[in-house]
Amino acid sequence: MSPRSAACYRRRVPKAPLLAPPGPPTLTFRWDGAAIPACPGDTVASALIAAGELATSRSAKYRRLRGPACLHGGCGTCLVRVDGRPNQRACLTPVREDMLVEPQNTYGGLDPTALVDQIFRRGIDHHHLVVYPRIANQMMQGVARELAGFGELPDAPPAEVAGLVDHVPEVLVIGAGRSGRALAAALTAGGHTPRVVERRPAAALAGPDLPADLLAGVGVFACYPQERLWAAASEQPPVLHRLRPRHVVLAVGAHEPTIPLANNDLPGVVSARGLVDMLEQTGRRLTARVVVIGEGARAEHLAGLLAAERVAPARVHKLLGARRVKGVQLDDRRILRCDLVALAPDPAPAFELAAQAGAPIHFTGAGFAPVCDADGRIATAPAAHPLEAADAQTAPPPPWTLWAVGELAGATTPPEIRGTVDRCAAALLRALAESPAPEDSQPSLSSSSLPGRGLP
Amino acid sequence: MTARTFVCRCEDVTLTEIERAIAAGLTDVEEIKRYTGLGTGPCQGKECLSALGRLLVARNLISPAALRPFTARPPVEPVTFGALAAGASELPEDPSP
Repeated sequence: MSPRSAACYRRRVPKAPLLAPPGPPTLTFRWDGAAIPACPGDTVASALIAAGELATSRSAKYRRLRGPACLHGGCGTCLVRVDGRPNQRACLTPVREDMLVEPQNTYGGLDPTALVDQIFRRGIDHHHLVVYPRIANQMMQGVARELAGFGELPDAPPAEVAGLVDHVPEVLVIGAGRSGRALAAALTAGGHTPRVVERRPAAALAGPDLPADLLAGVGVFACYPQERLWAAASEQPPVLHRLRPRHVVLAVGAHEPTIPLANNDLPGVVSARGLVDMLEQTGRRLTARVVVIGEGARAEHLAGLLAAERVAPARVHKLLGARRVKGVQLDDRRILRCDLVALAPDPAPAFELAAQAGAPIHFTGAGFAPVCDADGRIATAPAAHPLEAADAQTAPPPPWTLWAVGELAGATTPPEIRGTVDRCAAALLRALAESPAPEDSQPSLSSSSLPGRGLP
Repeated sequence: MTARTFVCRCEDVTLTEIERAIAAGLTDVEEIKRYTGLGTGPCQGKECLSALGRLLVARNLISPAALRPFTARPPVEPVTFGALAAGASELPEDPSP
């Protein structure tokens, strides 16, 4: 795909924008043959949703339209091509004037969904589909290979070679959301400023309470206990960060799982939590009609913030629409017309890094979480599963203490989150006072090859 | 467009396909992942894993205590090969005592 000339981009002004801007839009970027107006605080996803452009890709098997859904960098269906670089998350990409954003895996204007639906009325059962005769199987494998994959290769190799930064912080906090910020502030007040790493870009993190020592736009992607290492990276500028902390606080929050409902994949079906956060971050105001689907106090609270009607998942017959969601059909056949459906499931703690670090994991009823005590100290007890226990015996004990705060520690409401932060901060400050950092671990940042910008 | 209910949007795994896996005798997150491909797309289970876990527990196919997630392997966040290549140099000395 090559960038088309700017002249062919018509300005596509939506009849009724779904999210009203905080002020007159001052930026324009190019999207799939259109010029999309945007404001400086927008992400690509917030500007596209505002303009009513809800679809960004087609799905892997049934080739259905998909779009931004979790609005939180987690779900993978808002992947777009930005200025020739594939697989960029629209919900985490700040807008820039005249940037070229293209959909991925959409096959031009073709709509293969109806054809796939005709052929595979009862779904694709790949255990039995065209396994025999062999010649048909070989042909099908060939087609499947062509259809697989996400996006196309970048236009050009990266302009800069990735940098490398080694960190030896006393305390590493992963996540600068509500709990991560509060914990960093409490530790700073106690004389131990932590290094905070946050995957969202700096532009998305406005606020008076930002941590003093913050690496924004840097995603922690792995814990390697055998190498005694946490690894993080940013794409622009391209930098790999290797972190060897003495204490690690996981303030990574929770995922918003899907709610199994008919047509729950339509463009315009988004996370209620993600939508609330997006509105807060961008200053945009909801003008779309929204229906919230969820149960319990949290769903009710989110529906209140969105000034939307809420229905329980059990009452939903199916979601209506073809290219985007148009309404919710209830079991009594009543139809609620809407422009967006906001799902409010019970959040599922983001347990993945804790699991990589060797923490025992249990099922909470809503999702999986590491086992931790009242202070958030994550257990290092033998793993419950025999395979994990075998790993634990061969690995040396990790050189850090692992903590959880906020939603990962089981909190769901702001007062509960505050409680986990206060207890963790107190216990962590006690641990730091009892075992001061060895002299040789300072300074806390050493760089092997530091690129020229974007770093302290 | 056919109405379909998705448990995993990344890999287009529908509730019907989960039912088929359960009918084949599978009751465990890991087994169902291997049978259906659930959780193997770009989100790596962030959206579907707990939804599947809840479904299995609600149907009494497995006890909450026995329910295990599939292994959370790196990377949990996207990372470019370019950034990984930057880590080819040796690690500095281990600072821990």
